Amino acid sequence: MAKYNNSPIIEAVCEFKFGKDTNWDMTVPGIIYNEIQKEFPHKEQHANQNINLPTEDTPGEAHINIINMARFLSKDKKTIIQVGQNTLSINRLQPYVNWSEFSSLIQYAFNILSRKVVLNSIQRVGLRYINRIEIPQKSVILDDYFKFRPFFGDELQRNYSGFMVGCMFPFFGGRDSCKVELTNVVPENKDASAFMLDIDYSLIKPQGIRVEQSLEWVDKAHEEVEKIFEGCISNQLKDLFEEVK
Amino acid sequence: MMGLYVPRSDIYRLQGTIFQVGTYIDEHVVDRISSIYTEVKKTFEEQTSTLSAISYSIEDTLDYFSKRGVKNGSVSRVRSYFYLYPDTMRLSKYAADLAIQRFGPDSELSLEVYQDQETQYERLTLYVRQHKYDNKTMKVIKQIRKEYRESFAETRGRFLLTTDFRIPE
Repeated sequence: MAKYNNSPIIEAVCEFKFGKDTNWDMTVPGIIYNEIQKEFPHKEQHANQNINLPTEDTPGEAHINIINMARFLSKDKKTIIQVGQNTLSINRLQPYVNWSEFSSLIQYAFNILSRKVVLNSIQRVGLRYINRIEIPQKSVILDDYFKFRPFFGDELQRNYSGFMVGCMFPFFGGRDSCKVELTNVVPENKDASAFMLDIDYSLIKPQGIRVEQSLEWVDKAHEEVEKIFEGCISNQLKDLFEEVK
Repeated sequence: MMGLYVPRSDIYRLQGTIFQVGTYIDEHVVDRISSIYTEVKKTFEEQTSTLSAISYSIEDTLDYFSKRGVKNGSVSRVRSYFYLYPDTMRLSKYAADLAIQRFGPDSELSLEVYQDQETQYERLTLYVRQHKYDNKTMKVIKQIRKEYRESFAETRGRFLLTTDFRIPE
């Protein structure tokens, strides 16, 4: 995905959620920080709120969870390792260099965590790429730039003030899923149009893989994400990104 | 407000409303059931989204301001500020909502990153502009400041609601 001079990736994220049987306690973020503070000297704390509701599948009481995430940032604050209850995430903000570099970072963080904490099971893994695409035209014919786009049929006008299209694609017999969304966003330049192409590939079947298969899963997920990205955009857009031949 | 895809392979029954697999709940329906929508959306997102991403909420926040007609002095600078201080997203949305409510549709709001060139001091600033200014303007601004400071006491970034006494464009 980074084979373009003008890569549209504004963020790449790899997130691991471990099972409740994981031997996790409040000291884990501190232990991880001790290991990585040379490369990730800045630390912050953020609170994420999740609401859990009972469903037919998962009966029980509705409750609100506050999840405190420790956030460790690299010197330039472009690479972030986040550690929360049973959760590890690795974020890379723009400029994203390439998969090899991001993958090494994922391995680095994952290996440190697995050396310090007994990880018994994987609940979920996600590999998400958020692309922000700015096209230097106020009005854009979507068909020219996107293969994945809203279909208007013959009777609707082509003029829109906003849109959002999304689709979930199953992989490996439903073990994995990839959510693809395209939406318009606010352009930086007033005479331009901007779009966000969000590709979120995840393991949706809890414990669908073993802990030791995690990094292999991430590699495979990246292959699929790359194919999906290429499948979403047209050659005209690739030209705009300046493909490295 | 955007619509919502129901992606899971089963049926959800919440507060008497059935959400069928693969259906798209459009925004009109969503409006009617907005409170349920919010809860369901969060539940689904937890299962289907990699929530640790930072950029999505930043783009969503910029869109939030745009849809409310809030001017943006420099989208790239405001975006960069949100990356540095994500806490200011909720705060600034809260303050903008109060300002829109209290100053009404004829006023203009502009979100900018104020920077002092000498000290490099930076602050996210929401300017309120009105056709006519009187004592009440600052009174309302101060009241809103009090409310957002109470609600967001622990925010790390700097934010200020103020006016530059300019006339709306």
